[in-house]
Amino acid sequence: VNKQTRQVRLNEEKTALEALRLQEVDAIIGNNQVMILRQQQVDQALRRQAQIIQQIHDAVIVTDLECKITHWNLGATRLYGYSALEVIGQHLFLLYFDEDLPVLYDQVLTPLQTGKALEIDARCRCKTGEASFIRLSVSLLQDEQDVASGLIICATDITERKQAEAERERLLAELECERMQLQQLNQTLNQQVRVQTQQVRNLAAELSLAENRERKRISQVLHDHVQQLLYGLQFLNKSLRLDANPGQTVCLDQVDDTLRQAVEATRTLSIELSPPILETRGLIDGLTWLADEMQRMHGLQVVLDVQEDGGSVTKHLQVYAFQIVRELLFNVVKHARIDKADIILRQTKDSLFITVKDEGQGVDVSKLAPRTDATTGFGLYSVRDRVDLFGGDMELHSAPGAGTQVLLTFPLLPDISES
Amino acid sequence: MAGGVIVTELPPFEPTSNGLVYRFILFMAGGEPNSIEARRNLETFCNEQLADRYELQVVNVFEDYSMALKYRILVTPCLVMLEPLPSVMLAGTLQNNVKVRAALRLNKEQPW
Repeated sequence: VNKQTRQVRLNEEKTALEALRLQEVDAIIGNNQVMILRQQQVDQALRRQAQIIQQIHDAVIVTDLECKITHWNLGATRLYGYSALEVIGQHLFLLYFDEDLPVLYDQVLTPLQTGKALEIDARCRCKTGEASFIRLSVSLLQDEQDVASGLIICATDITERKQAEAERERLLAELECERMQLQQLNQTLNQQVRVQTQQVRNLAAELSLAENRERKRISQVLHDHVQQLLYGLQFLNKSLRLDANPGQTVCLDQVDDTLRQAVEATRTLSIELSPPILETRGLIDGLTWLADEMQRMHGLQVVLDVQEDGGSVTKHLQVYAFQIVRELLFNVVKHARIDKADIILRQTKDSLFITVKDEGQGVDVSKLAPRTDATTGFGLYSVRDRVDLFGGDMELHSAPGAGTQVLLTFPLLPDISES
Repeated sequence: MAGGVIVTELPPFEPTSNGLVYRFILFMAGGEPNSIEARRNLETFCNEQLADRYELQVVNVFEDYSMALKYRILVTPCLVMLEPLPSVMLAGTLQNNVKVRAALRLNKEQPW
């Protein structure tokens, strides 16, 4: 029995020792107390913490109060290139360029004396002598009594970030430069377009003036020359009639009738080409004459509503406005299927507004295609083109069954023909 | 008793109808980590290997020091198997299932 008991005791001691060896024991039971074995847990925890710090990606460096390095982890080796053996005991300034030291004193070491932790971006010197950019986080290392015993420095490599930032700045500057160049180019082009647009307008104005002068000249030729010749022929015809026999008289009557028609046709053409009233009395009297003519020639009753409030319309614009309104009234005659139209004229200090409207059958505006056909050159789009050339604006409102309204706006500019 | 373990303080053992039942006492040092781990390992082991064929008493040596003395416990955590006889003592966190099976003679267990 004793032998058996001894064997059991031996086994019990064996299992206890094995557990102790494996650090699986919390406490040892004595005869009058339980002794707790906490130290190994503390050791384990410390070892684990040390491992964590050692393996952390960032550089972790600890120094004493004289800035001598006392702890150096793998991250620091990666960042600076020095092994722990090479730097432990060395001064922290080994890791920085001499010219950066004053800044480090000012921005790190001096503020640290007040006990507060701080973060700055800095440049460091690696073992190879190359510079790396780092974000430094520095705080005081304090013991249990809160007495400072050194520094804890955590450094993160931000070289790539800095390079990316610099690249981004450079690209932004380039972009800004290109943007400025484009803006300048745009301004130049805009200026050119403005100048050329003005040149085109001036040309168009001169062309229209020339056209108008030519109309006037042809009108005068018709009036002063052709009509006088026809009157001469009429006079000659009367003289012939004195000696004519009855057969010849019938023939001369026919000649006289034809001559009268020719005189009438040339007179009408002369007036239409250049209404003398527009020349002598201006746009409003011209439009009044036009209203009468439309009634007389085409049976279209035109009501004219005029309101003038300052400003002056140049000769040139008067002629053009007259021609455009006449064109619009012809459109009413040709397409509106109604015998009444309105002209509303408003003149202010710097604009001339003319509205031509009817309550006829109207058109579907969306179906009006721009016309390039020379035969329809005096249609609506020709009107729009001419309005454009004067820097004016044209709006067309129409719908099937709802009549048509054309709003014209012209800026009142100095008269080119007069200047 | 052949195992050298005093069991007089425990309630009388009542065998189940199946016959073979394991009775354990686990000695722990309060909430110390190894003790907690031992208890967790033991419960997992019993649930997996012994199902409902075991009884477990847990003794906290801080609260019941005399029990530890009675069973001559040297260290915690420590498992004592009272039955089946002979009784056995096993110290540590019981994390090695193979060792635990061997110590508790589970490898020789007869099927019933």
